[in-house]
Amino acid sequence: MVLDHDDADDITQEVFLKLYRSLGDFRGESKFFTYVYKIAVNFSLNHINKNKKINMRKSDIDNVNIRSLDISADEEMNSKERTHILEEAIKSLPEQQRAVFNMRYYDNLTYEEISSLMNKSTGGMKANYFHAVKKLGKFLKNHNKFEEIESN
Amino acid sequence: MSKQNDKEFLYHSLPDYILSKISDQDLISEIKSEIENNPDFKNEYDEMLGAFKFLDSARLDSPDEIYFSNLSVKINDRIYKEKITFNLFDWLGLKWKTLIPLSLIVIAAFLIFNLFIREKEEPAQNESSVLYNSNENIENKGKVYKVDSISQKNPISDPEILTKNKSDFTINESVTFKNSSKRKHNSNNDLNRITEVNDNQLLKVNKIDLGLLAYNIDGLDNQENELDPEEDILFFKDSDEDESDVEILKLTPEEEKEILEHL
Repeated sequence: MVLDHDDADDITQEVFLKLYRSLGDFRGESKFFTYVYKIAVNFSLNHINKNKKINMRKSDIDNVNIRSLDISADEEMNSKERTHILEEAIKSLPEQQRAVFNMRYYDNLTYEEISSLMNKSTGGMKANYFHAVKKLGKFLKNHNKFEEIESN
Repeated sequence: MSKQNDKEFLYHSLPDYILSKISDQDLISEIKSEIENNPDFKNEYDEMLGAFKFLDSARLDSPDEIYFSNLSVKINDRIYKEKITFNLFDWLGLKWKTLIPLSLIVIAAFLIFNLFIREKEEPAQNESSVLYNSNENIENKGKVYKVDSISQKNPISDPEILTKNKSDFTINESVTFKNSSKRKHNSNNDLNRITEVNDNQLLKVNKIDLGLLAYNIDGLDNQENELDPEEDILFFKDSDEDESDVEILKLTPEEEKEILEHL
């Protein structure tokens, strides 16, 4: 969700520390996985909020790089480049949509689980996921990546 | 559900349809027909399909396995560090939790003592000024009289009354009395008697014969006589003309005893 290994490492450690401290607060009303996941999501969202401005500046710089990649559109896109573009596409999402997209697409959580984690309605989470995928599609379309995928 | 809500629901179900995460067959057939009949819906579907294709082809980097094996070590290390810090803070927190109420209680007790208890005690103290004997110094207008061995002749010439003190003593003229006569009692074990004195007079009761001696402060420095070691000092400043002393001094032992018992 934070798309940076160092940040992810920090957050992971923080999550485990938080768990260590507040394990006594766990009442067993929900699954332990949900409890841990919720802490992780909260930490990640806090981190995203905190580094929003910095990330935006970074993405501005990286967008230039992406455009420079577009110049060599004929070249075969290697996996690193794809990953980089994907990261940028995910970064372009609003934080809640990004969280929901990660939970649904990468972690295969159900909408019910996501809604309980985010304290939002199931329908709202479904809408969030839809808009997240739509925005990703638009981002990739704007960068002419669909054609490359088609050709590959 | 209205048609608008229906459409919205179909749109929102599109990602799950593409990824084959929908189990409801009716919904699947409904989405299929919508894709065939609705060009907008078809466009949306195409865009999403392209996005998912890209997502499938591009995988986010996952950390090496070594990262996960080191992760537990890192976390344990941080927990250990936190534990040390936490214990310290915890300890401090507990201390403060106990210290603050304790100090408040102490302050409150001090204030109550000062405001109420002392107020009650002070008038009582004023009424009966307690004079403490003997080897303690009492300031007398800044002067300290030292007498190593005193045997005072009674200025009133009563041969039976002696004073003695082999220790230092001083005389306090600044002792004030509200009334013309005050009750004073000696806290010294030797002198547990109570007697009456007039203004500017301080009495010390002889434990043996209860004789009283008044002597003039002015003549104190130069007067030296042998003391009877078995007698204590009776004192105090006096004017020679003071008749009350004379009266007291002229009392017979029986009368003195009676007065003292009465007191």
